[in-house]
Amino acid sequence: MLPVLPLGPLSLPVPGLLLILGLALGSWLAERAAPRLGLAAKDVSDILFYSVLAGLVGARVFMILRTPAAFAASPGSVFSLNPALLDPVGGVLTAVAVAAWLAQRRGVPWARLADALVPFFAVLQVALALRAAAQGDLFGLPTTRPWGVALWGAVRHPTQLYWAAGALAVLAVTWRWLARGEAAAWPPGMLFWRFVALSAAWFVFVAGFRGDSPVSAAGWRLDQVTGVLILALALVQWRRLSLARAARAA
Amino acid sequence: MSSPFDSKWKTWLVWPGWLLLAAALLWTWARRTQPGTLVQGRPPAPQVGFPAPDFTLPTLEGSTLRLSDLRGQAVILNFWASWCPPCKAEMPALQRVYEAYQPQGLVVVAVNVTAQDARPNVEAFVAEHGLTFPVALDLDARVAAAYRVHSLPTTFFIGPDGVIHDIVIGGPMAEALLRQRAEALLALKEK
Repeated sequence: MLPVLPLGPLSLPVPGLLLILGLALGSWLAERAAPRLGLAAKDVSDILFYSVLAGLVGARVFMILRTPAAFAASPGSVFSLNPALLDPVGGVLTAVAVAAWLAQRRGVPWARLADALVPFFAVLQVALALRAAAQGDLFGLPTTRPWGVALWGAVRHPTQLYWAAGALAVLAVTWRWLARGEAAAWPPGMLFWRFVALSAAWFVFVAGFRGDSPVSAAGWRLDQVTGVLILALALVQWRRLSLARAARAA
Repeated sequence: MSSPFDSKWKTWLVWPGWLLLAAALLWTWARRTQPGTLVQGRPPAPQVGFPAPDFTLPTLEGSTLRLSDLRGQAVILNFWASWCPPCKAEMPALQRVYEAYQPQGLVVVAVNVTAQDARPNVEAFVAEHGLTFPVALDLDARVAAAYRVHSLPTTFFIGPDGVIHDIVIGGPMAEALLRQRAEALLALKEK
Protein backbone atom coordinates (compact mmCIF):
# COMPACT_ATOMS: atom_id res chain seq x y z
CA MET A 1 0.00 0.00 0.00
CA LEU A 2 1.47 3.34 -1.10
CA PRO A 3 -1.16 6.09 -1.23
CA VAL A 4 1.43 8.88 -1.28
CA LEU A 5 4.94 9.02 -2.74
CA PRO A 6 7.08 11.53 -0.80
CA LEU A 7 9.47 13.31 -3.15
CA GLY A 8 11.37 15.93 -1.18
CA PRO A 9 8.86 18.59 -0.15
CA LEU A 10 6.22 17.11 -2.47
CA SER A 11 3.72 14.35 -1.65
CA LEU A 12 2.58 12.76 -4.90
CA PRO A 13 -0.75 10.90 -4.82
CA VAL A 14 0.14 7.48 -6.23
CA PRO A 15 -3.46 6.41 -7.13
CA GLY A 16 -3.93 9.55 -9.25
CA LEU A 17 -0.53 9.14 -10.88
CA LEU A 18 -1.28 5.52 -11.79
CA LEU A 19 -4.55 6.56 -13.39
CA ILE A 20 -2.89 9.31 -15.46
CA LEU A 21 -0.11 6.93 -16.44
CA GLY A 22 -2.68 4.30 -17.45
CA LEU A 23 -4.61 6.81 -19.58
CA ALA A 24 -1.43 8.01 -21.30
CA LEU A 25 0.04 4.56 -21.95
CA GLY A 26 -3.35 3.15 -23.00
CA SER A 27 -3.88 6.00 -25.49
CA TRP A 28 -0.40 5.49 -26.90
CA LEU A 29 -1.03 1.76 -27.43
CA ALA A 30 -4.49 2.37 -28.93
CA GLU A 31 -2.93 4.74 -31.50
CA ARG A 32 -0.51 1.99 -32.44
CA ALA A 33 -3.30 -0.58 -32.65
CA ALA A 34 -5.47 1.53 -34.97
CA PRO A 35 -3.49 1.05 -38.24
CA ARG A 36 -3.35 -2.70 -37.61
CA LEU A 37 -7.15 -2.69 -37.78
CA GLY A 38 -7.40 -0.43 -40.81
CA LEU A 39 -8.19 2.74 -38.86
CA ALA A 40 -6.38 6.08 -38.91
CA ALA A 41 -4.31 6.58 -35.75
CA LYS A 42 -5.34 10.24 -35.66
CA ASP A 43 -9.05 9.36 -35.67
CA VAL A 44 -8.62 7.00 -32.71
CA SER A 45 -6.35 9.40 -30.85
CA ASP A 46 -8.78 12.34 -31.34
CA ILE A 47 -11.81 10.30 -30.34
CA LEU A 48 -10.01 9.11 -27.19
CA PHE A 49 -8.80 12.59 -26.24
CA TYR A 50 -12.17 14.30 -26.63
CA SER A 51 -14.04 11.40 -25.00
CA VAL A 52 -11.80 11.48 -21.91
CA LEU A 53 -12.19 15.26 -21.74
CA ALA A 54 -15.97 15.01 -22.14
CA GLY A 55 -15.99 12.21 -19.56
CA LEU A 56 -14.39 14.51 -16.99
CA VAL A 57 -16.91 17.27 -17.68
CA GLY A 58 -19.77 14.75 -17.65
CA ALA A 59 -18.57 13.30 -14.36
CA ARG A 60 -18.77 16.75 -12.76
CA VAL A 61 -22.15 17.55 -14.35
CA PHE A 62 -23.65 14.28 -13.12
CA MET A 63 -22.29 14.98 -9.63
CA ILE A 64 -23.92 18.43 -9.68
CA LEU A 65 -27.20 16.89 -10.81
CA ARG A 66 -27.00 14.29 -8.03
CA THR A 67 -26.45 16.83 -5.25
CA PRO A 68 -27.58 20.21 -6.53
CA ALA A 69 -28.08 21.68 -3.04
CA ALA A 70 -24.41 21.21 -2.10
CA PHE A 71 -23.30 23.09 -5.23
CA ALA A 72 -26.00 25.75 -4.87
CA ALA A 73 -24.60 26.56 -1.42
CA SER A 74 -21.08 26.75 -2.84
CA PRO A 75 -21.19 27.57 -6.59
CA GLY A 76 -17.39 27.92 -6.77
CA SER A 77 -17.12 24.17 -6.11
CA VAL A 78 -18.32 23.53 -9.69
CA PHE A 79 -14.75 24.28 -10.82
CA SER A 80 -13.02 22.45 -7.96
CA LEU A 81 -10.16 20.11 -8.88
CA ASN A 82 -11.27 17.55 -6.25
CA PRO A 83 -11.53 14.17 -8.00
CA ALA A 84 -13.93 13.15 -5.21
CA LEU A 85 -16.47 15.49 -6.83
CA LEU A 86 -16.62 13.40 -10.01
CA ASP A 87 -19.34 10.83 -10.67
CA PRO A 88 -17.58 7.84 -12.31
CA VAL A 89 -20.73 6.34 -13.86
CA GLY A 90 -21.77 9.70 -15.29
CA GLY A 91 -18.26 10.19 -16.63
CA VAL A 92 -18.18 6.81 -18.38
CA LEU A 93 -21.66 7.31 -19.90
CA THR A 94 -20.69 10.73 -21.24
CA ALA A 95 -17.36 9.46 -22.62
CA VAL A 96 -19.07 6.54 -24.42
CA ALA A 97 -21.76 8.81 -25.86
CA VAL A 98 -19.20 11.33 -27.12
CA ALA A 99 -16.98 8.55 -28.55
CA ALA A 100 -19.97 7.08 -30.43
CA TRP A 101 -20.97 10.50 -31.76
CA LEU A 102 -17.43 11.36 -32.90
CA ALA A 103 -16.98 7.94 -34.51
CA GLN A 104 -20.19 8.38 -36.47
CA ARG A 105 -19.17 11.89 -37.61
CA ARG A 106 -15.78 10.62 -38.84
CA GLY A 107 -17.18 7.47 -40.40
CA VAL A 108 -15.31 5.13 -38.05
CA PRO A 109 -17.29 1.90 -37.51
CA TRP A 110 -18.17 1.54 -33.80
CA ALA A 111 -17.22 -2.12 -33.60
CA ARG A 112 -13.79 -1.50 -35.17
CA LEU A 113 -13.24 1.47 -32.88
CA ALA A 114 -14.03 -0.77 -29.88
CA ASP A 115 -11.39 -3.23 -31.15
CA ALA A 116 -8.80 -0.47 -31.51
CA LEU A 117 -9.53 0.73 -27.98
CA VAL A 118 -8.91 -2.71 -26.44
CA PRO A 119 -5.25 -1.90 -25.54
CA PHE A 120 -6.50 1.33 -23.91
CA PHE A 121 -9.07 -0.55 -21.80
CA ALA A 122 -6.55 -3.31 -20.99
CA VAL A 123 -3.90 -0.87 -19.74
CA LEU A 124 -6.53 1.08 -17.81
CA GLN A 125 -7.60 -2.15 -16.13
CA VAL A 126 -4.02 -2.82 -14.99
CA ALA A 127 -3.76 0.78 -13.73
CA LEU A 128 -7.04 0.49 -11.81
CA ALA A 129 -5.87 -2.74 -10.15
CA LEU A 130 -2.55 -1.17 -9.12
CA ARG A 131 -4.41 1.95 -7.96
CA ALA A 132 -6.54 -0.26 -5.70
CA ALA A 133 -3.34 -1.84 -4.35
CA ALA A 134 -1.86 1.61 -3.64
CA GLN A 135 -5.00 2.67 -1.78
CA GLY A 136 -5.60 -0.64 -0.01
CA ASP A 137 -9.04 -0.90 -1.67
CA LEU A 138 -10.63 -4.10 -3.00
CA PHE A 139 -8.79 -5.98 -0.25
CA GLY A 140 -8.94 -9.75 0.12
CA LEU A 141 -10.26 -12.19 2.68
CA PRO A 142 -7.93 -13.27 5.50
CA THR A 143 -5.71 -16.16 4.42
CA THR A 144 -2.97 -18.43 5.73
CA ARG A 145 -1.36 -18.73 2.28
CA PRO A 146 2.34 -17.79 2.29
CA TRP A 147 1.73 -15.05 -0.27
CA GLY A 148 -0.83 -13.29 1.92
CA VAL A 149 -0.15 -9.62 2.68
CA ALA A 150 -0.66 -7.81 6.00
CA LEU A 151 -3.40 -5.27 5.43
CA TRP A 152 -6.10 -3.74 7.65
CA GLY A 153 -5.39 -5.88 10.69
CA ALA A 154 -5.08 -9.27 9.01
CA VAL A 155 -2.99 -11.27 6.55
CA ARG A 156 -5.11 -11.18 3.41
CA HIS A 157 -5.30 -12.43 -0.17
CA PRO A 158 -3.60 -9.75 -2.32
CA THR A 159 -6.70 -9.54 -4.53
CA GLN A 160 -5.57 -6.30 -6.16
CA LEU A 161 -2.37 -8.01 -7.31
CA TYR A 162 -4.32 -11.08 -8.52
CA TRP A 163 -6.45 -8.68 -10.55
CA ALA A 164 -3.41 -6.77 -11.87
CA ALA A 165 -1.64 -10.00 -12.90
CA GLY A 166 -4.71 -11.24 -14.78
CA ALA A 167 -5.25 -7.85 -16.40
CA LEU A 168 -1.63 -7.83 -17.52
CA ALA A 169 -2.04 -11.32 -19.02
CA VAL A 170 -5.20 -10.17 -20.85
CA LEU A 171 -3.26 -7.16 -22.18
CA ALA A 172 -0.46 -9.45 -23.41
CA VAL A 173 -2.86 -11.88 -25.10
CA THR A 174 -4.94 -9.18 -26.81
CA TRP A 175 -1.82 -7.31 -27.97
CA ARG A 176 -0.46 -10.57 -29.42
CA TRP A 177 -3.69 -11.03 -31.41
CA LEU A 178 -3.26 -7.49 -32.70
CA ALA A 179 0.46 -7.72 -33.42
CA ARG A 180 0.15 -11.00 -35.32
CA GLY A 181 -2.63 -9.61 -37.49
CA GLU A 182 -5.19 -12.17 -36.29
CA ALA A 183 -7.52 -9.51 -34.91
CA ALA A 184 -7.58 -7.69 -38.29
CA ALA A 185 -8.96 -10.82 -39.94
CA TRP A 186 -11.76 -11.19 -37.41
CA PRO A 187 -15.17 -9.56 -37.80
CA PRO A 188 -15.33 -6.05 -36.27
CA GLY A 189 -16.05 -6.24 -32.55
CA MET A 190 -14.60 -9.74 -32.07
CA LEU A 191 -11.40 -8.53 -30.37
CA PHE A 192 -13.41 -6.29 -28.04
CA TRP A 193 -15.81 -9.05 -26.94
CA ARG A 194 -12.95 -11.49 -26.44
CA PHE A 195 -11.25 -8.90 -24.24
CA VAL A 196 -14.45 -8.36 -22.25
CA ALA A 197 -14.99 -12.12 -21.84
CA LEU A 198 -11.44 -12.78 -20.62
CA SER A 199 -11.48 -9.78 -18.27
CA ALA A 200 -14.91 -10.66 -16.85
CA ALA A 201 -13.93 -14.32 -16.30
CA TRP A 202 -10.82 -13.29 -14.38
CA PHE A 203 -12.74 -10.68 -12.41
CA VAL A 204 -15.35 -13.28 -11.34
CA PHE A 205 -12.54 -15.56 -10.18
CA VAL A 206 -10.71 -12.85 -8.20
CA ALA A 207 -13.88 -11.40 -6.69
CA GLY A 208 -14.39 -14.74 -4.95
CA PHE A 209 -11.43 -13.87 -2.71
CA ARG A 210 -12.49 -10.30 -1.93
CA GLY A 211 -13.11 -9.27 1.64
CA ASP A 212 -15.18 -6.21 0.75
CA SER A 213 -17.72 -7.51 -1.77
CA PRO A 214 -21.24 -6.15 -1.50
CA VAL A 215 -23.42 -9.15 -0.62
CA SER A 216 -27.12 -9.67 -1.44
CA ALA A 217 -29.66 -10.82 1.14
CA ALA A 218 -29.39 -14.31 -0.36
CA GLY A 219 -25.61 -14.32 0.15
CA TRP A 220 -24.52 -13.78 -3.47
CA ARG A 221 -21.54 -11.52 -4.02
CA LEU A 222 -22.94 -8.78 -6.23
CA ASP A 223 -19.60 -8.05 -7.92
CA GLN A 224 -19.38 -11.70 -9.00
CA VAL A 225 -22.99 -11.74 -10.22
CA THR A 226 -22.36 -8.60 -12.29
CA GLY A 227 -19.20 -10.20 -13.66
CA VAL A 228 -21.09 -13.38 -14.67
CA LEU A 229 -23.75 -11.32 -16.50
CA ILE A 230 -21.07 -9.38 -18.40
CA LEU A 231 -19.24 -12.64 -19.16
CA ALA A 232 -22.47 -14.17 -20.54
CA LEU A 233 -23.09 -11.15 -22.77
CA ALA A 234 -19.49 -11.17 -24.05
CA LEU A 235 -19.48 -14.90 -24.74
CA VAL A 236 -22.75 -14.70 -26.64
CA GLN A 237 -21.39 -11.83 -28.77
CA TRP A 238 -18.14 -13.72 -29.33
CA ARG A 239 -20.08 -16.79 -30.46
CA ARG A 240 -22.47 -14.77 -32.62
CA LEU A 241 -19.57 -13.15 -34.46
CA SER A 242 -17.78 -16.51 -34.86
CA LEU A 243 -20.88 -18.07 -36.41
CA ALA A 244 -21.39 -15.08 -38.73
CA ARG A 245 -17.77 -15.35 -39.83
CA ALA A 246 -18.10 -19.12 -40.44
CA ALA A 247 -21.31 -18.54 -42.43
CA ARG A 248 -19.55 -15.95 -44.60
CA ALA A 249 -16.59 -18.26 -45.17
CA ALA A 250 -18.97 -21.05 -46.24
CA MET B 1 -34.27 -34.28 -41.82
CA SER B 2 -33.09 -31.36 -39.74
CA SER B 3 -34.04 -27.80 -40.62
CA PRO B 4 -31.50 -24.90 -40.75
CA PHE B 5 -33.18 -23.72 -37.54
CA ASP B 6 -32.23 -27.00 -35.77
CA SER B 7 -28.64 -26.82 -36.96
CA LYS B 8 -28.36 -23.22 -35.73
CA TRP B 9 -29.50 -24.30 -32.27
CA LYS B 10 -27.08 -27.23 -32.31
CA THR B 11 -24.14 -24.94 -33.05
CA TRP B 12 -25.08 -22.91 -30.00
CA LEU B 13 -25.68 -25.97 -27.79
CA VAL B 14 -22.31 -27.60 -28.48
CA TRP B 15 -20.47 -24.42 -27.69
CA PRO B 16 -17.53 -24.62 -25.22
CA GLY B 17 -18.36 -21.12 -23.99
CA TRP B 18 -21.13 -22.70 -21.88
CA LEU B 19 -18.41 -24.54 -19.91
CA LEU B 20 -16.67 -21.28 -19.01
CA LEU B 21 -20.00 -19.70 -18.08
CA ALA B 22 -20.97 -22.76 -16.02
CA ALA B 23 -17.59 -22.66 -14.22
CA ALA B 24 -18.08 -18.96 -13.44
CA LEU B 25 -21.60 -19.62 -12.13
CA LEU B 26 -20.39 -22.55 -10.03
CA TRP B 27 -17.56 -20.47 -8.54
CA THR B 28 -19.98 -17.62 -7.81
CA TRP B 29 -22.35 -20.07 -6.09
CA ALA B 30 -19.48 -21.63 -4.10
CA ARG B 31 -18.28 -18.23 -2.86
CA ARG B 32 -21.64 -17.15 -1.45
CA THR B 33 -21.41 -15.83 2.07
CA GLN B 34 -23.81 -14.89 4.83
CA PRO B 35 -24.80 -11.21 4.57
CA GLY B 36 -22.80 -9.21 7.08
CA THR B 37 -20.09 -11.80 7.70
CA LEU B 38 -17.53 -9.92 5.59
CA VAL B 39 -18.08 -6.83 7.72
CA GLN B 40 -18.46 -8.37 11.19
CA GLY B 41 -15.44 -8.51 13.44
CA ARG B 42 -13.34 -6.11 11.42
CA PRO B 43 -10.59 -4.60 13.58
CA PRO B 44 -10.31 -0.81 13.82
CA ALA B 45 -8.35 0.45 10.80
CA PRO B 46 -8.08 3.70 8.82
CA GLN B 47 -9.97 2.30 5.84
CA VAL B 48 -13.47 2.71 4.44
CA GLY B 49 -15.77 0.09 5.95
CA PHE B 50 -13.69 -0.39 9.12
CA PRO B 51 -14.32 1.03 12.61
CA ALA B 52 -12.34 4.24 13.10
CA PRO B 53 -9.40 3.69 15.51
CA ASP B 54 -10.24 5.24 18.87
CA PHE B 55 -8.03 7.89 20.48
CA THR B 56 -7.95 10.35 23.33
CA LEU B 57 -6.20 13.68 22.78
CA PRO B 58 -5.91 17.00 24.61
CA THR B 59 -7.70 19.90 22.96
CA LEU B 60 -6.55 23.45 22.43
CA GLU B 61 -9.10 24.59 25.03
CA GLY B 62 -7.50 22.35 27.69
CA SER B 63 -10.04 19.52 27.83
CA THR B 64 -9.67 16.01 26.41
CA LEU B 65 -11.46 14.55 23.42
CA ARG B 66 -12.15 10.85 23.00
CA LEU B 67 -13.40 9.77 19.58
CA SER B 68 -15.59 6.96 20.94
CA ASP B 69 -17.52 9.54 22.99
CA LEU B 70 -18.82 10.89 19.69
CA ARG B 71 -20.46 7.56 18.77
CA GLY B 72 -23.97 8.25 17.46
CA GLN B 73 -22.89 11.45 15.74
CA ALA B 74 -21.62 12.17 12.26
CA VAL B 75 -17.92 13.07 12.51
CA ILE B 76 -15.55 14.79 10.09
CA LEU B 77 -12.02 14.08 11.31
CA ASN B 78 -9.52 16.40 9.66
CA PHE B 79 -5.73 16.05 10.12
CA TRP B 80 -3.94 19.37 9.54
CA ALA B 81 -1.02 21.64 10.38
CA SER B 82 -0.77 25.42 10.41
CA TRP B 83 2.17 25.42 7.93
CA CYS B 84 0.26 23.39 5.33
CA PRO B 85 -1.28 25.69 2.63
CA PRO B 86 -4.12 23.36 1.50
CA CYS B 87 -5.04 22.73 5.16
CA LYS B 88 -5.32 26.46 5.71
CA ALA B 89 -7.28 26.92 2.48
CA GLU B 90 -9.97 24.40 3.42
CA MET B 91 -10.47 25.49 7.05
CA PRO B 92 -12.98 28.28 6.29
CA ALA B 93 -15.12 25.79 4.34
CA LEU B 94 -14.90 23.31 7.23
CA GLN B 95 -16.06 26.06 9.60
CA ARG B 96 -19.02 27.00 7.36
CA VAL B 97 -20.09 23.38 6.99
CA TYR B 98 -19.77 22.88 10.75
CA GLU B 99 -21.99 25.90 11.40
CA ALA B 100 -24.53 24.72 8.83
CA TYR B 101 -24.84 21.12 10.02
CA GLN B 102 -23.93 21.21 13.70
CA PRO B 103 -27.59 21.61 14.74
CA GLN B 104 -28.34 18.33 12.93
CA GLY B 105 -25.58 16.52 14.81
CA LEU B 106 -22.42 17.00 12.76
CA VAL B 107 -19.14 17.19 14.68
CA VAL B 108 -15.91 18.42 13.10
CA VAL B 109 -12.70 17.42 14.87
CA ALA B 110 -9.54 19.06 13.57
CA VAL B 111 -6.55 17.02 14.71
CA ASN B 112 -3.49 19.23 14.58
CA VAL B 113 -0.35 17.17 14.02
CA THR B 114 1.40 19.20 16.71
CA ALA B 115 4.52 17.02 16.53
CA GLN B 116 5.18 18.81 13.21
CA ASP B 117 3.76 22.17 14.25
CA ALA B 118 4.13 24.87 16.89
CA ARG B 119 1.35 25.44 19.38
CA PRO B 120 1.52 29.26 19.19
CA ASN B 121 1.03 29.04 15.42
CA VAL B 122 -1.96 26.74 15.94
CA GLU B 123 -3.52 29.12 18.45
CA ALA B 124 -2.96 32.11 16.18
CA PHE B 125 -4.47 30.32 13.20
CA VAL B 126 -7.55 29.18 15.11
CA ALA B 127 -8.11 32.69 16.49
CA GLU B 128 -7.55 34.35 13.12
CA HIS B 129 -10.11 32.14 11.36
CA GLY B 130 -12.58 32.03 14.26
CA LEU B 131 -12.72 28.23 14.28
CA THR B 132 -15.35 27.03 16.75
CA PHE B 133 -15.04 23.27 16.35
CA PRO B 134 -12.75 21.27 18.65
CA VAL B 135 -9.06 21.29 17.76
CA ALA B 136 -7.24 18.26 19.18
CA LEU B 137 -3.47 18.24 19.60
CA ASP B 138 -1.61 15.16 18.38
CA LEU B 139 1.53 15.97 20.35
CA ASP B 140 3.55 12.88 19.39
CA ALA B 141 1.84 12.14 16.02
CA ARG B 142 0.64 8.83 17.48
CA VAL B 143 -2.89 9.32 16.18
CA ALA B 144 -1.66 10.43 12.74
CA ALA B 145 0.39 7.22 12.62
CA ALA B 146 -2.60 5.11 13.68
CA TYR B 147 -4.61 6.68 10.85
CA ARG B 148 -1.70 6.20 8.41
CA VAL B 149 -1.73 9.89 7.53
CA HIS B 150 0.98 10.23 4.87
CA SER B 151 0.14 13.74 3.71
CA LEU B 152 -1.73 16.73 5.04
CA PRO B 153 -4.57 17.42 4.97
CA THR B 154 -6.26 14.03 5.23
CA THR B 155 -9.92 13.82 6.16
CA PHE B 156 -11.97 10.88 7.44
CA PHE B 157 -15.76 10.86 7.31
CA ILE B 158 -17.05 8.72 10.18
CA GLY B 159 -20.68 7.62 10.52
CA PRO B 160 -22.76 7.46 13.69
CA ASP B 161 -21.87 3.75 13.83
CA GLY B 162 -18.19 4.67 14.27
CA VAL B 163 -17.35 3.24 10.84
CA ILE B 164 -15.30 5.18 8.28
CA HIS B 165 -17.46 5.94 5.24
CA ASP B 166 -15.05 7.97 3.15
CA ILE B 167 -11.48 9.27 3.11
CA VAL B 168 -10.16 12.27 1.22
CA ILE B 169 -6.38 12.52 0.97
CA GLY B 170 -5.09 15.97 0.08
CA GLY B 171 -6.83 19.26 -0.34
CA PRO B 172 -8.13 21.83 -0.27
CA MET B 173 -11.53 20.16 -0.26
CA ALA B 174 -14.31 22.02 -2.01
CA GLU B 175 -17.17 23.13 0.20
CA ALA B 176 -19.65 21.18 -1.94
CA LEU B 177 -17.67 18.02 -1.24
CA LEU B 178 -17.84 18.66 2.51
CA ARG B 179 -21.57 19.41 2.33
CA GLN B 180 -22.23 16.28 0.28
CA ARG B 181 -20.35 14.03 2.66
CA ALA B 182 -21.86 15.70 5.73
CA GLU B 183 -25.37 15.16 4.39
CA ALA B 184 -24.58 11.53 3.57
CA LEU B 185 -23.32 10.94 7.14
CA LEU B 186 -26.32 12.68 8.67
CA ALA B 187 -28.65 10.58 6.51
CA LEU B 188 -27.10 7.50 8.16
CA LYS B 189 -27.89 9.03 11.55
CA GLU B 190 -31.56 9.29 10.64
CA LYS B 191 -31.78 5.62 9.57
